Amino acid sequence: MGDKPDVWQGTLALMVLRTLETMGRQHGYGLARRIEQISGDLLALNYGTLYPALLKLEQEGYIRSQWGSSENNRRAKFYELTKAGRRRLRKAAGEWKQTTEILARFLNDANEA
Amino acid sequence: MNKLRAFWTRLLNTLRRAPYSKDFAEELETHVAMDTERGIRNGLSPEEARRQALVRFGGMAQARDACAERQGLPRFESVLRDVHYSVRSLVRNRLVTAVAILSIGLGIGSNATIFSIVSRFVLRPAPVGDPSTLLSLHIMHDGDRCCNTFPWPVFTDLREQATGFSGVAAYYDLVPASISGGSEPERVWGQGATPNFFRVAQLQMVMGAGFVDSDEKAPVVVLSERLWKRRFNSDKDVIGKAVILSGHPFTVSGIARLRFTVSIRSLTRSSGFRWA
Repeated sequence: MGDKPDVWQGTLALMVLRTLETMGRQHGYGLARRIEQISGDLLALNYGTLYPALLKLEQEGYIRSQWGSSENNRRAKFYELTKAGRRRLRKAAGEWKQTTEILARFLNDANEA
Repeated sequence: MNKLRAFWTRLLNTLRRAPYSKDFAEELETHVAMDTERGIRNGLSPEEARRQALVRFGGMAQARDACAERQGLPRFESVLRDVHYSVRSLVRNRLVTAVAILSIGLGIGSNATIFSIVSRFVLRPAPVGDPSTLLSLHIMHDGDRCCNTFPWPVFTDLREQATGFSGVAAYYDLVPASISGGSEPERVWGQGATPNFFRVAQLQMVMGAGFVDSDEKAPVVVLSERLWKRRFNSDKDVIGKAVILSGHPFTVSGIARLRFTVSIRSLTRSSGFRWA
């Protein structure tokens, strides 16, 4: 995995929700690839951790899943966002933005000082 | 809210003992297959593509376990399994079970009994008017508290001369008598008491006036509430009637709440008393 940072605690769910929002219905592999691509392949996503995270989101009612067939006619489980998931995404995204802004200020100030 | 929902789903999965769905295995397999296909498209041999896909996936078994763990409530499940196991082994060893149940039952029973005794005699305040001002007098012998039996003249002297008390009363413990008349005769235990006894102890009457000072040496009796209920069937007209105690007629002058315990503070230290 080299120097690639691991996915930070708690951010994977947010990435999944956001990816599902932009891509619509998607299967696990597609989600994993997409998350890696968006991160510019800078992120080391452990695929193994993606599926338990998906299950958790589903149990919490933020996403729902259904078996279907992929573009290559392979049976795959497809995920999509629920209404609660959309709300959750808005909220979490807002919070995350705020956090990063605050942190950015601190780090910038430290540079100038 | 959503955490609760997730917990609920997991709990239901556990209780239904849903077999860890093959979904996970299939889903993870699909993932690896898709990744393998991509490798092949990129020009790798099928074997190499699959190997790389598995490496990238990083721990198939761990992922499956994580999903399985996430589906139910593993801790709760293990508790459930333990309960199942213990019930099964209890059913198998009936004798051991019987002995265990019996000893636990006896343990609980004896503890409850001990507690009810302690509660009645120690914890519950005495039903006297003001327990903190009620004292029990004792004779000291060689610096130790000896006994609370006083000769009658000593008692009368105390009653007349001890001005620090609002009253001094005496009782004589446990006088046996046979009560007759009406139904079967039976043996009862009573106490001899000075007429001012109920007043000094501020004990309440359920009915009747109790003793009056002129009653000294008069054949009057105060019945306990328990005896009154049991033997006289809570007769409201019993006051003023005669009961035969060991062949002598006594007039009932009151019904006392006598089923109580008193913790009387003695002059030197506290001690527990039981008046039945």
